[in-house]
Amino acid sequence: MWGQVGNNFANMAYGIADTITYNPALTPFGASSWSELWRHALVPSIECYTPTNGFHTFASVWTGGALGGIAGGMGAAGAAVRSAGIAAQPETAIVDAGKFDYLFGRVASDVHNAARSAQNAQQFARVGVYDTPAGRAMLQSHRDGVVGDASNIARTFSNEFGSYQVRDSLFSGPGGFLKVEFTWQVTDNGLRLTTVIPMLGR
Amino acid sequence: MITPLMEDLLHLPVEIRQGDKRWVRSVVAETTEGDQLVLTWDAVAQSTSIRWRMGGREVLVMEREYVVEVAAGQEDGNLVMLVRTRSEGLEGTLRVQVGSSVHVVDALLAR
Repeated sequence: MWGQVGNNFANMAYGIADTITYNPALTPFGASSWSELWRHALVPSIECYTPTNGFHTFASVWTGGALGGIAGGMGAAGAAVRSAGIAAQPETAIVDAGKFDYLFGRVASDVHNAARSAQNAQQFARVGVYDTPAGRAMLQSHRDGVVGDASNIARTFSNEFGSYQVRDSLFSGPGGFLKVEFTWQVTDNGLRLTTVIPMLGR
Repeated sequence: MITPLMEDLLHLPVEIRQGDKRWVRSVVAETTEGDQLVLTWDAVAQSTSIRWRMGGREVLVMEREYVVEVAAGQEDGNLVMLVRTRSEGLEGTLRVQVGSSVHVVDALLAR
């Protein structure tokens, strides 16, 4: 069971099904140098929830309300998250078409994006996630959860081009874990995904 | 991320190029021997890219993320560009000087 806890835990706060209890002493990543990343997560006995499956197309625009198929569960999860003291602020996520290309190494629009895109693909491959329907669904589900959990905002910044949120998360793939840093632009219509940086832990 | 102001760039011996996105900008400098140095920054991704071309051939490409500052100015008649980065475990300054030739100093160290 505890093996599953890690996977589920990585996507906490937005799933539906099983209620589980996280105990860091019983998981392989209990004593982690990623303490900052998991600062809101490494709380003994915090309740968390298994993730839902992917339920959108990646290029779509969706809202918390549009998560209709899981609306009941989302409500329950939200209530439980609040009870755990974590601010749950569902946001609308705006994801440009082609972001999967960016995540899986198929961007060559400029030198930096090409390098970033290639590294993204390498990092996800290291945890067993590839550009397949299953891989896309995993990333999509994870990304949805990141947007749905305001407690993972690591930092914010503003400049002449807008206001941005950098959100940290822990992604669990079939072959391991990645810290994934998402940068979102705050717009009137929701959060627009700008960059994704997956990183291995130390 | 701190980036150079347009009014400051206008006083430098560089060509300024606007990227396809508003927050992406490049400056292009040339040595007296014809080498070309391009520094591009993305104020949203907080990243930079440096490309040095010599005789039409690309000889150096440097990518940086977690950029906190990009600066450009002149020292002793040479163009100097600085890229400062800071992340959880690393901090450093990349310094590129363009004069009669290109000189690059890159210090990226643990913090």
